[in-house]
Amino acid sequence: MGEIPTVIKAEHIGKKYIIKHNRETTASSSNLASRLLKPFKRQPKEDFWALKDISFEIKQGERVGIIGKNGAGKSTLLKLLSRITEPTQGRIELLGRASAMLEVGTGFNPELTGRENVYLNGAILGMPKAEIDAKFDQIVAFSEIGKFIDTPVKHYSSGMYVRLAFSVASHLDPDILIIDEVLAVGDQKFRQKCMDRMNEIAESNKTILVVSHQMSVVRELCDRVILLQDGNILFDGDIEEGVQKYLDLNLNMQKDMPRFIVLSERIRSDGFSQRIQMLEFSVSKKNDMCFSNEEPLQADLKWKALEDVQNVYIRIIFTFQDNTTLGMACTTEPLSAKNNEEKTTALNIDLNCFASGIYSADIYLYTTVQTEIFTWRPDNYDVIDHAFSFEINHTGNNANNLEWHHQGWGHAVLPRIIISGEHCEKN
Amino acid sequence: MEAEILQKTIIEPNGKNAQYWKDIWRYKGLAATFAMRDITVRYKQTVIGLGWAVISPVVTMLLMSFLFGTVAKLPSDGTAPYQVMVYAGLIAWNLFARGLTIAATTFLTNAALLKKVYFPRIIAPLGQAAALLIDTLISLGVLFIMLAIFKYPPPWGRLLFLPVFMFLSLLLGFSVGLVLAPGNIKHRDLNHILPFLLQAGQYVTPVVYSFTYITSSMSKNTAIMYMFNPAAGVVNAFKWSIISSNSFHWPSFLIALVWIAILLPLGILRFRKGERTFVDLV
Repeated sequence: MGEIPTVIKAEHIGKKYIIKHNRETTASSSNLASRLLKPFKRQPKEDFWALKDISFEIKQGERVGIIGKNGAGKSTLLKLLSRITEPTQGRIELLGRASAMLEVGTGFNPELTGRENVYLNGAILGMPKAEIDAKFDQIVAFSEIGKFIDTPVKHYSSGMYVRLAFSVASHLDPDILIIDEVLAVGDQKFRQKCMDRMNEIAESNKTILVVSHQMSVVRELCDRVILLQDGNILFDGDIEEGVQKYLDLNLNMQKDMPRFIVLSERIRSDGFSQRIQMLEFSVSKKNDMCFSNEEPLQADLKWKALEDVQNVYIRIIFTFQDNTTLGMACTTEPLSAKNNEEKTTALNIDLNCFASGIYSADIYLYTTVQTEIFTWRPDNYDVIDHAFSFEINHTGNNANNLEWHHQGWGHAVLPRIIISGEHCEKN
Repeated sequence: MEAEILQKTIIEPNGKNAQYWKDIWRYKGLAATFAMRDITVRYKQTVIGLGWAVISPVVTMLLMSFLFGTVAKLPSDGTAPYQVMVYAGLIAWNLFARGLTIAATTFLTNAALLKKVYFPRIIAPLGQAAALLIDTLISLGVLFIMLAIFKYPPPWGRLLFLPVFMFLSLLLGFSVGLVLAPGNIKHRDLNHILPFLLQAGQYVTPVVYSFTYITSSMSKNTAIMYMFNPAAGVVNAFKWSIISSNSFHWPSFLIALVWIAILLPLGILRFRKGERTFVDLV
């Protein structure tokens, strides 16, 4: 058996985008009408390098995870490797048939039946018809669509839709498979099935590239990681080391954890009508944001009502540094305020169940409303993502002094188990 | 392990791609699948299905024959029934105009797909053009029924050329579309202008009137200018292959061939340039 061939060889690849700075950068702003009005107006332009002089080699059978924060260049790299767009400089050599799963259900047509879509989607992904014929039964069986295979997919539930789409994609048989976080589909059971299927592909000596934010997925599927940061390769090699570097990266970002935060200027996401404006968040009785889990986090939240509000609650969602959610905590006493009134609410957050690590918190001010089916849902008045972050040094002894293993144990330390009695069966 | 022969792909800037034509050939099955999709989807949700491919040109034909033949009393191609002449013209014109539209708007109509998966970009409009040809076969069937109803036998020998002229009409439109396609990426104005241009184009092309009549009623210079309309030559040639009293007009047909010889390579060049950058621009 000879040397293992290199199947992906990227040499000094770079990708430049030109960003136009234009306040009303919408599709309509570049139309004839606005150009007729201001024919000589030049839009200021700026070059943006999404990838800068990247080189790497991947050998046959390697399973490489590509990780990095949003905007690090992961998607751009995938687009280049899958030939959707071309590099501005450099050269990539691929050996063998490459298929990319950048989205499940690409090209699915709602009017067509499941069967017709399997053929359409398969052809789009590069499967010859004979291959689809041969694998058709397998694909349908995997998707669990059963007798609905001859129903137009517009009548499918979203779960059925992604199951069928994933099924087709996962039966591709390329030499190089490029996957972009498509694993987060379906219910828990189907996800596990997807993971198993991916593992199966991974073990069949295929070369796999996976882009993911979920370190658990990367750990399970890959044996090498490439960590991207601002268009450069920050690390390339061993998986655990790479994942740790990625987590450290987030850590460095949050090293500067202020105790006093102005919230009024922060950018709010869409999707709610703002009736309250959070102004400030400040932690009292403390010099830093490093807590032992035995002390509570005491903070003042200053907010202003933009109209008369009542029955307002606060909920905070805590996220661990690897972007997995730990949980949610909320107030239960209703708050109220008159229009334009400013209030400061003192909060006392119990940190007992937090394992050691760095967390970030999203703050929601909301009220509850009843739905048509008599359940309750929140109606958000103000939302700030990543409002503040803090570090926990776990000192409680609910884990017998073990170093906390976030990967397997999650991020919450549950109350310890009490032994309520003991007796001997046999002497 | 024996040495498998793995296909090598080289990705480089500026669209250098030695395997461009080989790639297109490899993906021909996808073009066929796109064609099937178009046909299936188009008629799936309609009550009379493929009937729509018949009804709309027939209604247009009846209207145009009434206006130009009955009301305006324009002469037909020799002894041919006016309806037959109009319907033949419409078939050729539709191939040209719809082929043009398919190619010119492909980056927009297929944007969602093209941004997510790679295949030679020209495969999508090629598939749609194939679907258009199948649509046209139905219209041709109607035309033969009309010939039977009017008891106006076609020139059997010339029918051999019918597929050639059908193909040329489509190819001409497609070539013009390829030339226009990159202009449709950044600025969408073309999308709005195109229907007007095509509507106007139909009236400066011998679709609903006779080529012989129109050129003979013009001054010599105007007639020459008229012949430089690339569609004029192919539309009249198509009519000639199916209407026995139509006379073939070589000058306009040769002009059309020259147009194709210029526009097709130019269109491919323009399209290849456009396909390289459009993902970053759409």
